[in-house]
Amino acid sequence: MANDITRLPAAALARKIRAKEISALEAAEAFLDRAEKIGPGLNTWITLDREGALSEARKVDRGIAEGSARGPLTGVPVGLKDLIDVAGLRTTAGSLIYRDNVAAGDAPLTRKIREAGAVILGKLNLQEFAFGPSGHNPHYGDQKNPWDPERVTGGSSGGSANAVLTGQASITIGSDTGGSIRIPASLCGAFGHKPTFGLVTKAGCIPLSWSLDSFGPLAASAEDCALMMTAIAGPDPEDPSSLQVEAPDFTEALDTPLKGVRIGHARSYYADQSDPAVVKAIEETARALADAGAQVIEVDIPDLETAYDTATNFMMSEASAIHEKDVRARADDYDPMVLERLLIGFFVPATAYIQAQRFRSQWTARVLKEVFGKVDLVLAAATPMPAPLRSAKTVTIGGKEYAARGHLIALTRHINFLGFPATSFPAGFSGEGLPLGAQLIGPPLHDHKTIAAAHQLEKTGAVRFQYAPYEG
Amino acid sequence: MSVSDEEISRRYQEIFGKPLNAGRRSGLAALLGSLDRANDQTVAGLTPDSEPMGHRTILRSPSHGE
Repeated sequence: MANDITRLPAAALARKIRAKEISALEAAEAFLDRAEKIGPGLNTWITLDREGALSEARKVDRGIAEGSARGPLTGVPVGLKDLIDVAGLRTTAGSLIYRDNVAAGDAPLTRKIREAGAVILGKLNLQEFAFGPSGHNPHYGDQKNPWDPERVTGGSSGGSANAVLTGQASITIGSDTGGSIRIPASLCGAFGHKPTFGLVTKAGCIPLSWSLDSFGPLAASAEDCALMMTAIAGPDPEDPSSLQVEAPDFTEALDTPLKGVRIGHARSYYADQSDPAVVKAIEETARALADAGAQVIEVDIPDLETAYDTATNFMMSEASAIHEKDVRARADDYDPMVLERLLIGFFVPATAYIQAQRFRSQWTARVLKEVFGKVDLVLAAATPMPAPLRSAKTVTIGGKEYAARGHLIALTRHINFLGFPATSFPAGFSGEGLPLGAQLIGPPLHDHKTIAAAHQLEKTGAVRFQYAPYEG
Repeated sequence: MSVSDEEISRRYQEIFGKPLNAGRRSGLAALLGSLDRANDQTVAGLTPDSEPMGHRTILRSPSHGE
């Protein structure tokens, strides 16, 4: 059975540590013990840094004793997706190619998390180079779903999700290029926030696509997402994509009531291609929003099919450019599934990449006008189905057959192409007891509003986080 | 944008230093064909004033949706 400390969301844990009810050292030890016990069965971690975490926790405790520890994440044990540099630890990106790549220093994102008082436990497993939606990894093991280890976690931040659901880390960081925070959050039952592109620094992190990558939290509550965003959002001179705007106040915004908030239910975005259990769950979420005082209307997002295909051209081009040198020199060291995807980008001409960029600007302006001109936030499913079996090649929904892995990304890639923020949150369970996920999407820099709306739904009881019963 | 089978084979050999088998070539050709059609659709819908770097400017304004 999990220690009670490992069943505390980050906000509650930080409060107890600041109040000296629990020491940071006790918290770090509890989560590390749990990670060592549970992690190997779920392939959660690539590197667990017991020595470094305990040393950091002792420092936090000294700071509390001296009255100098005031960060929002004081003493909170955090796991980082293994794309993010932590001084002295290797950053493998889930690959063989970077297996021995030891970081000389902390990424700016890591520095911000430490400055907020958090204790870094280690580096979480992921799909190789964050390039895939299932959590498959032939080098460090497939990340396994804690509700049923025969099923995928979703990816690419699979370790980031299963760590939260089993109390191996109080909160984690993932990255989202086409859905890699929201997909595993949805399939495992976590909260996840994909920030506005450029709001969170990605300097010192191994990229998949310079124009689409966003780093953000996976957590046990919307409040925890707000706490982490408070720590990590804002301009960074080391990241050329960083938006030079001040971050909103995420924790203050949590109290914003849903009354009067205009929610666009984008049924046409997800319903036709989604499992009936997912459709029912999102309809119930829409009703809960309306019951809480939101004005819920139906909206259609224009030009979805062209946007999805154009985003594919765009992402493949950037990913292949990033990997060109390694693909030419060490193709055999790549996961064949990842290599297959990387191959595509080598055949997309520069003109198609530029036309995709032009379309991106034009489509984004159109979505802002035609959708966010009418509503404040958009509600949709985060994934069209619950977690498929790891062995599944196809799934059938509404009589139509889809690729089991490829279809996981059907409702998320568009939002990365827009660069907009989206918060995914638990939306109940399927008949088989598997988590379902919803997402609230906002216009740029309205991250605080998508997180706050999810928080308000939690307060009504309509949205509820549940730890997975997995004990190894 | 369409790429001939010969060009796919030549480029694959150049990148990976080994030949591409016929099955994979045909799968890749089908995928590239669909991306080619996607590009045609993209181009058909573009307005003359859409610029490649416009997206960042859009994101910078915090007033969207107010």
